[in-house]
Amino acid sequence: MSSALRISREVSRVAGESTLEVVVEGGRARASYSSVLSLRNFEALTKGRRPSEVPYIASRICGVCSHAHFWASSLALEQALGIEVGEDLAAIRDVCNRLQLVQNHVVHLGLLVLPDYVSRERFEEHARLTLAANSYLLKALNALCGRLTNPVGYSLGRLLTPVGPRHLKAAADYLREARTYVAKLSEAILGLELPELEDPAPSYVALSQAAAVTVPTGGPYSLTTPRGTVELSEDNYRSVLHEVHAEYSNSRKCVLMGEPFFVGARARLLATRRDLPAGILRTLATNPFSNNYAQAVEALAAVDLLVEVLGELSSRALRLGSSSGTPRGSGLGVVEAPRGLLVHYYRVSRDGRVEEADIVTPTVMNTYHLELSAATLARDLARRGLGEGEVARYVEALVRAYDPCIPCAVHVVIRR
Amino acid sequence: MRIAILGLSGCDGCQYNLVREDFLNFLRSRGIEVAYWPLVGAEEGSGEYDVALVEGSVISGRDLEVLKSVRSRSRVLVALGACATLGGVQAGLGFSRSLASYVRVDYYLRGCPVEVGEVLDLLDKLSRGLPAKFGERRFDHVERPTRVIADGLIELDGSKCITCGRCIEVCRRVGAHVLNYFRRGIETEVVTPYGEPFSKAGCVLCGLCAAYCPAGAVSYRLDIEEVLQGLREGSLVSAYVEPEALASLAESEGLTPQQVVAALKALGFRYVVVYDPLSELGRVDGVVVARSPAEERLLRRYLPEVRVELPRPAIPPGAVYVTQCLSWKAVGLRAITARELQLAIRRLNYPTLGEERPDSVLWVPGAAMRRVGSLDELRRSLGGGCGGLVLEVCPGGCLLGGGQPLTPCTDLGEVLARRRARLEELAKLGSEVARS
Repeated sequence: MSSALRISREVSRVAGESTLEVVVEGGRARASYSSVLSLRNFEALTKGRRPSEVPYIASRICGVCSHAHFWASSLALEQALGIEVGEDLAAIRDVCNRLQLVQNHVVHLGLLVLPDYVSRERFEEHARLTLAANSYLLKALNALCGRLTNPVGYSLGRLLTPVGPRHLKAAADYLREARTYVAKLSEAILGLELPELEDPAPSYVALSQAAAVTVPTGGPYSLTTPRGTVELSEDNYRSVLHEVHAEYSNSRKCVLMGEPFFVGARARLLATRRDLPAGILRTLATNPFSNNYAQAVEALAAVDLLVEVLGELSSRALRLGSSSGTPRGSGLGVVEAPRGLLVHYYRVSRDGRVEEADIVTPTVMNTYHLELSAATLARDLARRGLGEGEVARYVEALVRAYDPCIPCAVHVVIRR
Repeated sequence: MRIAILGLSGCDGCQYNLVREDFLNFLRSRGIEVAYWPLVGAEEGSGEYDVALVEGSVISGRDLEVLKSVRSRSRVLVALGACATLGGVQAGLGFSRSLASYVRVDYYLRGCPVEVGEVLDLLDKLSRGLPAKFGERRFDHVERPTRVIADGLIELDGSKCITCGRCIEVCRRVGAHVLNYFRRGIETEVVTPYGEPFSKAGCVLCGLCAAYCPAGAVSYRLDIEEVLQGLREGSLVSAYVEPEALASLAESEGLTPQQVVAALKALGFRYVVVYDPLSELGRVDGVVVARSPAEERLLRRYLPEVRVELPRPAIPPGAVYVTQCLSWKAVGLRAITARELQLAIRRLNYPTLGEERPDSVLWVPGAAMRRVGSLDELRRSLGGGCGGLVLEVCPGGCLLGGGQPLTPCTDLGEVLARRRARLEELAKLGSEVARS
């Protein structure tokens, strides 16, 4: 084949703006995905700060999933300072994080994914469902922790706003209202005919306990991968989740023990929900587009779980505190963000200032896998004789399936 | 109305908060068309807009390009959230700028994230053509006060003031209560009441504010050039130096008292007299002696019933009085402060200075008079009869007076101890001079 297919598109309907470049030439394909926004070096911003200030800075990395960044940074710093979070407090934190996860999934599926697959009329009908679900989810979030973006109701090892049975019951009621709409949306998504794509690198990673807990209380963290379980700690996280700099892009990309891999809803279901029907599991394991299905399944399951947990929490007296343990000087925080595993690492000096920070975001972990999938997809479609516009449309839909979040690209890469 | 919503470098949180039922329903009910909003897939990015809501700050060249392009195509540009209005959290890195640094911004919506109700309110008013008040930036128009208060002797230059409050504290300790803070926050300034000139505001002209100001914001009139001119012309021949001034100069410059005398001679003074005005006093029974015009003013104001005596220095024509107290310059005496003399001495070549004795000593060290350091102490002492009481209000006495030379030592207690030691040396020298 002598003709080359070149696609360079700014992808909309994702958080932040990003560019995908795909080149198909002579039966081979290459893709590179990068941010077109400037990278804001948050690791440098946290240096020299007091640990208590850091979660408020970290949550501003991303306005979409700021809770996840808040919890990951808190978790890391609590271990560095020797704060042991109590059981009830951990449960509330998990509820808040999971609520944001559902909210993110719902908005992403209903408003950003659906236009790729359905007619305008059907989209508008589902957009109404989505917005209704979203308002109830926002109300539930407000009842517990104030607001969606950049939470102010938490601090290291404690809550700053009162959370009692009244708030928990209100949140549960809103969630029950939301469930109707989430269920309809989930059904619509599961009914979609997704494009065929054979996953070129079917390796994934998720917290082993992700089905029950998205915000653990401390390390080491047990991670499930197709090859078995890995214990992630501050000593080995840099080698397990190895970050490499690409020649052609300003974002960093990440390999899991040398291999490209993916994180997110699809990885979480594969790691923790072996009870799903075999057909669904097979699709999840082999087709990157099925992350859309995974989000739909996960959102509905999460709403049910939240209603149950909130009911249990509101039925008894809570002890929302933490106790002091041994400060370790450094700590690793790992949580499940809506888009997948989120890792924060901090080292605190003896005079109580942050000395070192390292953040590995889900989007960074997914980038390499996304590029491989996009190249494979473009190559297959080009073989079937599709034109540039068609290929670009499919590839953009693939990018959206990964639900990338560009503001989360926190590093500055220095090119030599 | 056609609007655009877009983000530069930032977290997208402000836009993400707008993806909600009430906001979108509002747009629909007002017939507002969202022409461009890449976050949700409205991609018509080239037309003209009535209102552009821009989130995020300017970091890269691309940010700037996008911003300028959207500014040129929008009637109204709104800065959405903290990054757009102020530079945001990433401004901590030093290379993130607010929108207003580059283009005209019509409205500012603050918050991290922005309050959706405010966005609604603004769009509502704009769509109905009503006046909207979201424009004011709170800190833009505030500048540091630059008021100058002067009365020919003391000058306070607000532009140099760092509002540390040392002058206020020392003014209170003296009992004059002239200086105080005015306004709050970034607008804080140090002023006299109503900003009146010092002498009118009840100032006793002790000069301590100038001596204690670390920023040079308070200063007083320098007459040293005239004195040097007088020496060159020959109209001045002798210096009458207060013992405290001489001892302080010796301490501050690291010289012996004899070297200071030599320095004065090197400046052109033919006669150097160590002179204490207290030696002019006769009987002091039943009176309180004011050490300087500053104390005299204080006593007249606060203890008018007390009989006050101010020893007037008898300075002959052709002589200048070198004093530790600024207030003597305000009573028609030809006087310079030790600080002024210090400025002149520093122009001399120190290593070539020899040692010389003063030509005359009119000073009785340790005269049988009790010194009191404040008005309170004076009130307590008055009960036991006031014979022989001398009031010296400067903290630490005349050795640390308002006209004192600047010393490299930062510990006032140590400075005082060293100056006392120099004063004792001077007393010994004085008695030798008197014997010979």
